Amino acid sequence: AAAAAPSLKNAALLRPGVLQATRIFHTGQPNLAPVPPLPEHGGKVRFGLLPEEFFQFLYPKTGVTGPYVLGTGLILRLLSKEIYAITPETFSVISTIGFLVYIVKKHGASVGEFADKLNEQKIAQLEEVKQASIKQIQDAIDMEKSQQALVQKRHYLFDVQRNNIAMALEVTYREQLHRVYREVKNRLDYHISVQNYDASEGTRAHDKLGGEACGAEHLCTAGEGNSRQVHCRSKAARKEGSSSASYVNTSIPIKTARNS
Amino acid sequence: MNENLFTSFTTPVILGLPLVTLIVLFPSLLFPTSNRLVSNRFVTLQQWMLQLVSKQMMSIHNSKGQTWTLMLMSLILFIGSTNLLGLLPHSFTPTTQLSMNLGMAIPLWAGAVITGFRNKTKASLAHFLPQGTPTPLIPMLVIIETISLFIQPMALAVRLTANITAGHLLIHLIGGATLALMSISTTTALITFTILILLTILEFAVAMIQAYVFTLLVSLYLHDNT
Repeated sequence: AAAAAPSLKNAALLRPGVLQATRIFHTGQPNLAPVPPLPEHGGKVRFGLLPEEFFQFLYPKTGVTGPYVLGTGLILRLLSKEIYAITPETFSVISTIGFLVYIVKKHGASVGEFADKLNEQKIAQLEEVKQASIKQIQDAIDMEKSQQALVQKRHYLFDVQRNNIAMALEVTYREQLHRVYREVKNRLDYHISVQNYDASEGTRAHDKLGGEACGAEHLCTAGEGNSRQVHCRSKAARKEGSSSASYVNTSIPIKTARNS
Repeated sequence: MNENLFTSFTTPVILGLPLVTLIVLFPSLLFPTSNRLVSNRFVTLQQWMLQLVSKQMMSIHNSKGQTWTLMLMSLILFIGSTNLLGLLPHSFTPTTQLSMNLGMAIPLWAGAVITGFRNKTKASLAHFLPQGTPTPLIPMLVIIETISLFIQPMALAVRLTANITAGHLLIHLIGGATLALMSISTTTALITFTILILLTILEFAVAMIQAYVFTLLVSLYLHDNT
């Protein structure tokens, strides 16, 4: 910017906006040479008028009282020769200057502190805005970091969910498989037991009792009752089975009929 | 002594050249401008004071009246600083000259009144008749109100001149009394000197108050007319 500014200054002499262009901010040294900084406090003075160096200058020759004697002599000469005449104005001088000196001595420091406080308030206000902005950005950064960390750990959640779903699917599948197996086994067991009974006792018992329908009262022993019960049951079951078998058998011709 | 009493009120001329121009322009040197945010104590205090005064004075005006802020603020700064500088020994106060005060008062008053007549003609003319006057008195009252309107600039100028001149004269006279009494009886001289000190304090206050009053009245005339 410091290099660009001189070229901007030399652009034209009085074109509009050139005055604003020359008023540049924050380009470092306002002068082109390194100017030494101003001292913080001015030179020390006595009585607000006479510099301390004057007293130091006279000290080797006349000691401490030298300048005071010189001052007194000068004042007395001015008065006695009426170079400075005492007029009514003199008294107004005494009162005015005395009043001003009194005010400055009494309230000077507090007024200076008040001015410093005003400046400090201005800077503090701007500093507060800056700090608030920095804090806001810092908070945003921290929140972003924490959210990134959370995102890193999210895959655990998904793994668990995936595993859960897989397990549920597996369970459902196995459950259905088991049910199918159980149903089929049920049917097949029935057929097997029917066949087994037919093969072993069913026909003997049937022939023994003459193949009558049961359901009426019988004279029998316990064992026979059992077999009769078994027989009746099996007869009924056979009827059922035959009916189911016939059902099954009729279903097939129906199927075939349908097919054909 | 008679000759000496009024010489402090003659316009200073050095070798025939009017020095009064420089004296009138001098207070502007005491109000430095600074473009910095944080300046030295002097500039900071002046900026703070100016902000305080402008807020207090211009808050009663509407936006049209607030265009006069720069004028009124420079007015109060000028009158205040010239009055205060005039209290220093052997100095000349421009505001003791009636010519200058008239030159300040008449254009400002006329500006306010003419603005009022141009923009709010009916309301400005209505100022000539206060509300609720009995009908037979109306012609008299209109004449009186007209006179009071035209006396406003005269009153502004003469008020300022008279106050400052009277203050300076009193300081001079009591100083002279102290001087005269010194050789007669020192105690009386001391009493007179105490009076002089009190008067000086009063004069400092009067200097600032007069500036305030002048500007306040102009702003009031403005408020009536915007």
